Amino acid sequence: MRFRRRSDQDFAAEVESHLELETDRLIAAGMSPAAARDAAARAFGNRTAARERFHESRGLLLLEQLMQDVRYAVRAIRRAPGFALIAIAILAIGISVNTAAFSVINTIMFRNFPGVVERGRLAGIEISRETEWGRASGGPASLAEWELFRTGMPAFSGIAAYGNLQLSVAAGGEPLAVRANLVSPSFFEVLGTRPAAGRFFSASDDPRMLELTAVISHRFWQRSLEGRSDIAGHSVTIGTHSFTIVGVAPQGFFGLSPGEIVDPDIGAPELFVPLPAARFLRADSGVADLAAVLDDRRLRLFGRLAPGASFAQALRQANAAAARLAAVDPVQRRNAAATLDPGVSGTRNAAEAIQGALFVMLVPAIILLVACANLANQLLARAIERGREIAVRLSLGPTRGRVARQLLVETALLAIAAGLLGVLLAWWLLDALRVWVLPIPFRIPIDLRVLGFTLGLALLTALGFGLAPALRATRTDLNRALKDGSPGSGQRRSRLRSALVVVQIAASLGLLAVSRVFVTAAERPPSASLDELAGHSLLVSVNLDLLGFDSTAGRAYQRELLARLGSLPGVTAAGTAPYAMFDMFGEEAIREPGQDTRNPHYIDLAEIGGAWLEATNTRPLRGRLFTAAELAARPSVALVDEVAGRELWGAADPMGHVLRIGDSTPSLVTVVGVIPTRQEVSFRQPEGLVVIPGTRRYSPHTYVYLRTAGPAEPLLPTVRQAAQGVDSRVPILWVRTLESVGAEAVGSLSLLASGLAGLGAVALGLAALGLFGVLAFLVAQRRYEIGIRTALGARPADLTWMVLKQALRLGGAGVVVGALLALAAVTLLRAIIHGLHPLELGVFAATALIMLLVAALASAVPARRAASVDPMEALRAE
Amino acid sequence: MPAVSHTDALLRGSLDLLVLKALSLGPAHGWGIGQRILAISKDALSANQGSLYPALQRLEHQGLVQSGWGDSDNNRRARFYKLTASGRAGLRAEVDSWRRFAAAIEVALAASAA
Repeated sequence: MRFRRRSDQDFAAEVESHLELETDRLIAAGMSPAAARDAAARAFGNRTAARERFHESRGLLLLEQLMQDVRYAVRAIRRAPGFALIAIAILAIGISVNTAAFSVINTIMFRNFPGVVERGRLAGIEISRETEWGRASGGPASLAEWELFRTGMPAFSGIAAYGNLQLSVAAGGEPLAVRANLVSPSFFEVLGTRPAAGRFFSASDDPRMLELTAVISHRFWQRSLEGRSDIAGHSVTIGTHSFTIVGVAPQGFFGLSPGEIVDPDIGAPELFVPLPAARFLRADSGVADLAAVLDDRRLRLFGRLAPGASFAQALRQANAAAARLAAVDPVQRRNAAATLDPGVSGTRNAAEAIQGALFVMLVPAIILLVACANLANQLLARAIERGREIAVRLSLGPTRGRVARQLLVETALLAIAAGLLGVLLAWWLLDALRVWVLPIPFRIPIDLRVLGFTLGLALLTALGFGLAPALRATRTDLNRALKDGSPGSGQRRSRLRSALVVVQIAASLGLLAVSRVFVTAAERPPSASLDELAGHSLLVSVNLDLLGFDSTAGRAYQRELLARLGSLPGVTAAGTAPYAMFDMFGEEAIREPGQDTRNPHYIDLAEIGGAWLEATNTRPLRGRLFTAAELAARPSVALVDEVAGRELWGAADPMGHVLRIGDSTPSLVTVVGVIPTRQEVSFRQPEGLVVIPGTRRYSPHTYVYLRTAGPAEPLLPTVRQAAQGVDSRVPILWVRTLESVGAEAVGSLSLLASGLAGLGAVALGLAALGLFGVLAFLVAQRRYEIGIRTALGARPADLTWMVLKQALRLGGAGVVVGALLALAAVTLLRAIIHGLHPLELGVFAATALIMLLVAALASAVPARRAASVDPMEALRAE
Repeated sequence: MPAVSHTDALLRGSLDLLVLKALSLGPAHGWGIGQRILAISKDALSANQGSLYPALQRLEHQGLVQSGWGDSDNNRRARFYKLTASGRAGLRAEVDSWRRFAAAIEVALAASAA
């Protein structure tokens, strides 16, 4: 384009040359030079106006005005630094919570995971199947199924599989239990991961060359092998075999499942074992073939799209593979179909992702809303203080829009400052989250996307809390404002301010009520039987999975473990169950005999060994517990808790009823006792439990429950040593007190509850401040009226009541709106989170009462001010 | 014929048209354009000198004219403007639309007079 921006000087020179030419003409027409010059200037008209229009045509004016506005705003902010600091602090809190929440969403949904390249081109492949009750997730794949999927899908440039394991690893010293991933040789290739040291395996490697090899995590390298540089070729003992380390995964690498690394029971994988090496994971001599080791379904599949291929093509090919699967296994994989999870975000579709994101952002958004309402209110109050200043500026010529824009620029500056502070706070918040709450092996980054989000949010909030005050402030009656500085349209203004206070009260009340629901869920009082156990109970977790124990050897080991731990001095009872206390027990299909055609009940089943009932302090409400003979024989008797009893037989007495447990090889058991319902700590309704002797099947993972005579904690090392002594090859996963197991189970829940309660308290404080501001403003506005009332004989008590009434009216409106809000929020949360209790009326009433009390307190100072209005002064001032 | 005062005449659109028309006669500087408009309208239209320059700037922005510094007849430095190819096309289109507009107004006025 030929057009170039012209400078001011250039334009001035052009105008000058015009004037000279015109002067020349006028002189030629007979004028004197001086008169000609004047006439030329007159004919040209307003040179400044011409220059301004020149500016406008250049499009620079806006920018220049904006700079002016910014300078003006900075001056205005510096004149009232106290207000600015408070505003920035309040907003920064709101923005930081939102920024931190979005950072988490950003990491899970959008960012590449550590070491993973172009996550958007990856897709998780899930298999669903048809069941009697509709389509259900088919769960992970078996080794044979992985073989079916591995080929014949050209839309993927690579397919990989991984599964979780717990392995016992010794790098010189005692065996440690570590989380491991069993991975297809293509795993790292498909992810695009580069090793931090050594090399990775590849799909093109000879499978025999991969036997007895492994890759370790960066953390394992640093912690257990001192980060030695000659790591490749070094060996570690996994189970009973020596494995050669070929490489180290990059720092923070965890594969593709962020949900697992935040689960304290699972954590980030420390070891990556290629599938061809899996058969050496057995503790015996390693003669087993691969399929025998991996007889169960534990592999999760994913692939990387080939260049140019689409997810639609990939899905078609995956469905074809699923159809092959259904043909091979028409029972377990009936009408199998594939679903893709593009980007491996762990969500199956956009709606699910949005729902999750909304859930995470809900509370932060409420906090920000309260902060905005609060600031809008403060700005309205300030607009009244600044009424005269604004009126002067309006009368000096700039349009109302221009002045409103200047005010908006002021709020935008505050919001941007708050945004910067908010990012710092969020940084710290995420760090605290990582240290105190979630054991994430990498820090959740604040990247450009997050910064963009924060900036956008800051500007949006500036608009949110600044627009109404700016428009209000500039809609003044100039004459009145200039004359006495009192604001115009005061009635409407205070109505808006009252509405804002109601919003704040309602939102903070809603938040408090919701946090209360979580607190109730977290603080469900421990049952009496558990209370008695406190301080006198230990749990030991041992997993024989993949260690090469067949069921006979496994049972022998478990019996020996139980016997040794049970005979330790100080231990009064010892029993086993395949699940830890507070865990979700596995469900089993349970029917009454003769009702085969009906759908079975799915009820948690505890298959116990030893003195589990004594160790958990379980006493029968009715009937009796098991005899030693019953415990050792095939299951013939059962205990049911109250919930299971109600589910199976309603109000009828469960005693003496017969149950059929399991589908394939069912056991018939008779109910001999009723036990109390378990304490639940997760987000679930108390679920029923059926207890039977654990002789029906072998479970490689077992938990030993110990009850001690004295305090349990000092016994921890003794118990660990004794457990380790049973078989040195078997890692003891952990030995912990009942309290620490319970604390972990409720940990995230109570943290969420206290976090919510804290935020609710912050919101409540903000709301109280807002209420205080409005009342003070109303009192100031009604000084004249109050003066007259006092002059006419109103007593201080009447005036105090007048202000208090106003406070209670606002508080009451807030409580009503808040009640509706809380009801809606809890209903929504209960739809998303299983087993939250509905809002308790009493609790809500108490919270509402506190809110009204706060409202009354906030009115105390304004009320005193109203009562102390000197009628003479007030009337004279008007 | 008395000159139409520049406050009630020469709306922005017609000023642009007149500037283009003036420049179609050959390159000129701003003052010269003003003089030329006066001349070709037989002294009936006088452009507000102050508003001429923003108009020129606008036209240059639209790519209808281009400009550069040169010497005037009496050896004054002045910025000269000339039509671009799209300026010429623009002028033709503007003239057509103006004529249609003027004709329509004429018809309307004739009707009301009858």
